[in-house]
Amino acid sequence: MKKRASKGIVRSLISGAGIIIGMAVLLTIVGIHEGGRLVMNNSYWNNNVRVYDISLGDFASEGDLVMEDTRQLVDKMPEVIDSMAVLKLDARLKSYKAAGTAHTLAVDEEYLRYANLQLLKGSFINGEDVRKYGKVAVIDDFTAIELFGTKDIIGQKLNLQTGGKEVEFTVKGIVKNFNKNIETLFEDEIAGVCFIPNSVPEDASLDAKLEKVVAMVDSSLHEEEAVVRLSHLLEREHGTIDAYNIKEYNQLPQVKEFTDKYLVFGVIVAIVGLISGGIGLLNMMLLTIRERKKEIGLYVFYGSGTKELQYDVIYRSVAACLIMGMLGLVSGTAAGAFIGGYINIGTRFTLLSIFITIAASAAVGIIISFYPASRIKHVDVSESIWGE
Amino acid sequence: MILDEARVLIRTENMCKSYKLGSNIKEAVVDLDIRIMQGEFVIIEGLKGNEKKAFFNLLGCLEKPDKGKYFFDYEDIALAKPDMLDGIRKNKIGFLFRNFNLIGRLTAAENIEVPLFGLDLPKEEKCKRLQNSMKRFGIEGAASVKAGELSDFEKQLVSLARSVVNSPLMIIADDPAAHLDRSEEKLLMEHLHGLNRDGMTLVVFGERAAFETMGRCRMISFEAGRAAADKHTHVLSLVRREA
Repeated sequence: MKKRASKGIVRSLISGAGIIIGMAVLLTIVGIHEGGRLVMNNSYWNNNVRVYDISLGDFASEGDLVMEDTRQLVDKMPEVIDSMAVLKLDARLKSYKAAGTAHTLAVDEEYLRYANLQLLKGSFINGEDVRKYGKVAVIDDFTAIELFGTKDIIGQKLNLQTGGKEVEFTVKGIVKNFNKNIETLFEDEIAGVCFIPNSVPEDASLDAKLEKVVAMVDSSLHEEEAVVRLSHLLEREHGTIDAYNIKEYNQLPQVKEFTDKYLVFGVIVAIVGLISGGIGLLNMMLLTIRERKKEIGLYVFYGSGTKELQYDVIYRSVAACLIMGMLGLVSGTAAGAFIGGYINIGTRFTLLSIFITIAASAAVGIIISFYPASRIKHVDVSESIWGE
Repeated sequence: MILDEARVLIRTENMCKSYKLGSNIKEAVVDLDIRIMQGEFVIIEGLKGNEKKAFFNLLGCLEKPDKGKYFFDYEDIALAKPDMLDGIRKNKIGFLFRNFNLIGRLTAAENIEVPLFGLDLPKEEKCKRLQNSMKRFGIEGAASVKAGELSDFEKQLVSLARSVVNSPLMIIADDPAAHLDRSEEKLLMEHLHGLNRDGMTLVVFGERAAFETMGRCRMISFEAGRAAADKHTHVLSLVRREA
């Protein structure tokens, strides 16, 4: 009996595998979307702030964008709530154990929120640490492993070599590496990151290039107007024309990138999966009805109305689809967590996921059961009871 | 069961039923006028093959007569809608077959439960009826055995339990002892007589003279689809009917 039951379960699972795959893909997308929404809730956007990245255009010279501009923007444009300079250093990192390269940026504490970084240990660059310890650094988990062989390195010393100089920093935090994503999934080397306070390059006379200035602007100011006014202000300050690239910063580039590239593909896979799984289950139900024609005929003969038997088919179909849907929910949640890890977004298992699972599974179950249920009417009862 | 000896369970008036054989239409029963009272034990002989099937289907309310009238428990079957026929088979008739008509993949208990599927009864009541049916025919031990693994006699006892589980007014049986040996047949007939003594109406289709030896019953003989003889001389003690 156990063997027969397990055979039936295996047959159903194979027939309805598409439903599991379809639901899993659908719920992966939903999970990432929900995770993205959580990030958005903590974002500038949700706090009525639009963020603009200001960088130099192709025909501008280095002096057209300087650290001082951050203060000018705040002082001269009332809608600018805050501004931050992001400096880039070509540096080599060295620990007591090993050395390596990392993408080094000199930033302030706002950068954690700006770049949606996930802090794994310690704290990010902040005024208190800078005052207390002076030269502090935050590196990513990959770089920590590469340089120290462990992630437990808060308080460890890290040397930064750039332009023939070597400066010692104290590691105060570890962030999750955001360069690890689907694009770099199969790459051997993933670029590491290192953050230091944006006051350090000037204080320690390090060669640093201003990569961009970030302006946080009141969201009541329309995007086009904000770009024009920011541009005019900087052009007036530096006496230049068309020297700046200003664009609104998308705080969730990874999610956007993922959804842009994979959403359509994911939805197609989900739909194809649900349809093919549904057809598989429908086929299995038709086969079962054909195999059990005599049995169905007997039930009808003993007065069970065809409607009752049809409801039974619908009920079984919905139950099978719900089980498949639940398996899809589990796989989708797991896949969402896996992919979310690579695009730096924590996926979320929410009531919406359960609702989608129940609604989509039940809908597929009901739709595919109509045809098999209609076949019950065509069972010849007399043949069922008199046939040998 | 409360025995109402004045209750006419089956009444036919000039009833005709035909069946299709290839492209030909053949008569199964012609101009039949019979009356079967509640509590009677009736044996029908002389119908074979398709004729028997057609008459069985008709008496069992699976089909309607082609001509004439057929009343089952005062319901006009000729005018009944499919739902009503389903309801009559579900609530008022039990069936026994020579080929048992059990579902091999189900256990004996599950087979007995088949007529209960469509009944709107509480689960406890269904369970009670199942237990009582199995107990009555001494097949509790076979409850969890697959029908395909039972002996022919056990299969027929399971069929018998299935035929009474819905507490019907009447059991229609098609040559129920066909696959049984003499001793098993005797035991089966004892069960049938026992049911009859409790007030159950029995209509048994037989192809063998064996039933005659059991005695105490009414026998309707058919010849060429017409009721040729209707012997009322042998009656059951419980049925106080004029000879």
